[in-house]
Amino acid sequence: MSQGTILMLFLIGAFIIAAVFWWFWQSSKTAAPVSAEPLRRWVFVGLVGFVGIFTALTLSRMPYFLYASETPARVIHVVGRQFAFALSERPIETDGDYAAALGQTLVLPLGQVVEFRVTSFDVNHGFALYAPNGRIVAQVQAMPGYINRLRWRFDQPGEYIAQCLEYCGAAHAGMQARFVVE
Amino acid sequence: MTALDRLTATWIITVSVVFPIAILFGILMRLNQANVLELSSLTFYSLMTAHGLLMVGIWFVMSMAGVSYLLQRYVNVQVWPATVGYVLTLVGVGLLLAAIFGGDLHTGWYFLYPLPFYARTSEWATLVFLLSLGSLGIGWFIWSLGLLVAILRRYPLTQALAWQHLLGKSTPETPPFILITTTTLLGLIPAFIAAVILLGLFLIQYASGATQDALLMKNLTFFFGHTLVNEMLYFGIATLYELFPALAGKQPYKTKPFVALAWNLVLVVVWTAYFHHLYMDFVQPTVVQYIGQLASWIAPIPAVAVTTFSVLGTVYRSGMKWWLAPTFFFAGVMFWIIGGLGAILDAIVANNFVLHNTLWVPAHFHTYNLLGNVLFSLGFITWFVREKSGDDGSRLYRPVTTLYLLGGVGFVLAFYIAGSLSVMRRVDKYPAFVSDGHLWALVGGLFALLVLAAVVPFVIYVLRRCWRVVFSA
Amino acid sequence: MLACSVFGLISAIPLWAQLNEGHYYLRKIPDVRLVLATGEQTTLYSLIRSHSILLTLFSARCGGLCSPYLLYLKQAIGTTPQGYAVVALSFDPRDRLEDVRATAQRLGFTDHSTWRWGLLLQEHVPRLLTALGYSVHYDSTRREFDHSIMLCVLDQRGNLLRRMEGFQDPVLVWDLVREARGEFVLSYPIPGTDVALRCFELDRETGHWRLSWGMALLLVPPISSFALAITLQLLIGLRRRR
Ligand code: HEM
Ligand SMILES: [Cu+2]
Repeated sequence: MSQGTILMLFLIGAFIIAAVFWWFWQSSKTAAPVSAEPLRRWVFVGLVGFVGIFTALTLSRMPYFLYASETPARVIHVVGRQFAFALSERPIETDGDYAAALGQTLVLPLGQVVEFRVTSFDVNHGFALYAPNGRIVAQVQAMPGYINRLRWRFDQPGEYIAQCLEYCGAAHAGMQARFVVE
Repeated sequence: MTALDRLTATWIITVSVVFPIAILFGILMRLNQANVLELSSLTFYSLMTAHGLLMVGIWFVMSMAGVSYLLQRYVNVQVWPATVGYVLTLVGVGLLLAAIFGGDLHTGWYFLYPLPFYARTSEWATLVFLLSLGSLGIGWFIWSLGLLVAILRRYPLTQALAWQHLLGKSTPETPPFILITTTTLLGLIPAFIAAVILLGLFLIQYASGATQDALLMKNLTFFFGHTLVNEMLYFGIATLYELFPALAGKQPYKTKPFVALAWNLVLVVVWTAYFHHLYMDFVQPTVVQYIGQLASWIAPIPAVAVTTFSVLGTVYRSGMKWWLAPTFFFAGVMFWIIGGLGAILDAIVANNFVLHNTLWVPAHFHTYNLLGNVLFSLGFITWFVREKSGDDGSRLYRPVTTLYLLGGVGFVLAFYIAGSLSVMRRVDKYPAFVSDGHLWALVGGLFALLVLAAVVPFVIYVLRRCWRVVFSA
Repeated sequence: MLACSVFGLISAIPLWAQLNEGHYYLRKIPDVRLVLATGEQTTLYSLIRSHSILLTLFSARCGGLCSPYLLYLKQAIGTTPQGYAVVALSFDPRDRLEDVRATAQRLGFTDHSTWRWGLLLQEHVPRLLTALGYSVHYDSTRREFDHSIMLCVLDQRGNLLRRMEGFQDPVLVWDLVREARGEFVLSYPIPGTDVALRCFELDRETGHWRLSWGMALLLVPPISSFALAITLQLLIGLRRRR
């Protein structure tokens, strides 16, 4: 689901909930003895069914094994450190590697699978990819001591920004890296 | 006035004083994000840390104070554990504010490991901060234990958990209030234990320099943080179960088998719901991620279902009188569900992939806090004030509820919209590529001013009456 | 004479290219000809037809790191690969098939069907070494090769997927094995970081990560909460009876 769809779903749902509550609120202005007891079971069963169906629909769309069966066209090593990301095609293992990779602008292929191997040299960072239209398309956390692999296929050319999405200190807002997809 | 009356009034006064200040911090943040103000990054993040911790802190203690007070209807409540809780809370908050504003502590409210060791904070501030958390944790732990013991003296454990109702028996009766309070206390205590383990590991590193496993620390952090925030909401629900039927002129709620089932389920599932905070940590075993999505859905839904059903059933054709307290409870349930909808949409891993750590997150948790749990507590407060002073605040009714709800809805809506536009959370200055952030920050800030405008007169009303409770002969 | 020309070619590989893995990722490796220890003549590509392979090169008469390295690999991943194959080839122009067999036997590989041992055809050696980024230098005083020690993963289309030089943590060797098996390993710990309580540990038998005591610590809070409640219950019960 795109972000816009999620927002629409939410607004529609919120509106329905509010309407139901409004209706009950209005009904409270008159007094009459009633019992809603028999309904309770059905509400419960209905909700369990709803959860079951939704779960079945969404669990298959986990981002963890995206493109897992394909061979990526490029492998990019990513290291986060307060307050910049270093991206490189060579492994970044030392401070020297990190410094050398900073400020490079990578060019990544359009329409092919790219693999990011993401880690951190200090605190937890978030590696989020912002497309040229300013929307997040994919993300993964950069955790010290671990390498997380994120595979993605870019289908929109232009300048992308990798923005830190896990609060990592006072200059967190400016923690970015740029790369180009063409 | 009893000792418990006085203590409860003291809690209300404390919380009421801090609330508008914490709101002000929030407004300052929003206006800074809108480029209306120019705060330094350090100031912004100090305000953010203070805002988060103060808000979580005051509404946690207030929901617990409400439950402590109402518990005396069923069992013998001792005052001393709550008093210890109060004193240690004050100490903790004092140390906290010293660390934040004196020592530039700016790690965010859940201080994700290993940030406290890397943030440019005064050396002493990290230690003071850890001590302050220790003080809060111990204080609340003792208080919780006190409540649990009080319940167990009257209701054996199986009965407190309403297992006889689960099996279809109708006697002996366990009131829903006791059931919910017990499951919430039992759910909460592990959060404190997790916090103790977390603090221990932090202190080991502080003392010896040995690093910890970042994955373990993150799991512990959210076990503690998520569970605490989740359970405080359930305390609010317990209060609602106890007070709402009477406010609507109906018989007290009874524990039906469904209700017993729902809350027993919640007790266990709530501990695994925090997994959704680690969805984007691909290193977390994938099976845990699946459990996380299931648990995030299962934890709120039974509770929501039975509560909504009870509340709507109570209201339907009741001819009840709407004043501050029932209105707060009713609106609180509504926004609790709406916020829950925002939350479970985000708890779908596929959605979290593009929403994680965007403003969608503060959007939904502010919905069920500011417009949910806080309203439950305000419901209790107004009920308490009326009990003690006979004044139901009818002059405030329209302006306060209108401003608060209108302001609150506008404020959270600005978060939701910005979140769906990929504007990130916890950022003091929005980068150029999310320029949408500025506008929605301004909108949110202005609506939040309405909330503040409602809260200030309300707080004055509450303070004057609670003052009299504390200092009555 | 032949040997000399081979080494001349090899040392022409620029140093920077020899150093990093990234440069070699996903490059197509030439289909070189070789003789297996069984005497069978074959090509590299026919070895990868049924499985991706872990490939390592050695010299049977090497007095340096070759034997220890092969032994280290054997200890790390065992002798019976499953879901992938291990191929060890001699690049040394002086080696003969008997030497290759002897090396295998010395390391305890009596059954040649477990790892594939073989001898590269000399005219194909330089192309292969260049493609792999394998550096070889003949030291005429010692009459021995200074060379890389290296493990590579080749997929079934002949692409170089991974490449690891030197003696590394066995954890990383398993990472290459998983790549060869075509498993996508979503995440892995970086070896060498010293932490008190690990969440994951490598099972040296299967090469899978399994949960370790760090994660078990997360069970402590709920269990102690129940234990606490039951203890309180018992204490209260005792007191009431008195
Ligand atoms: C009108 C009232 C409120 C306003 C204006 C307000 C404003 C804000 C703002 C601007 C943020 C930072 C958002 C960002 O990440 O960019 C924030 C975060 C937060 N707020 Fe509120 N808030 C209000 C009420 C509450 C309430 C009632 C709670 C109750 C629990 C609360 C708890 C939090 C927490 C826990 C955070 C996260 C802090 C962190 O990221 O470390 N807020 N709030
Ligand atoms: Cu960062």
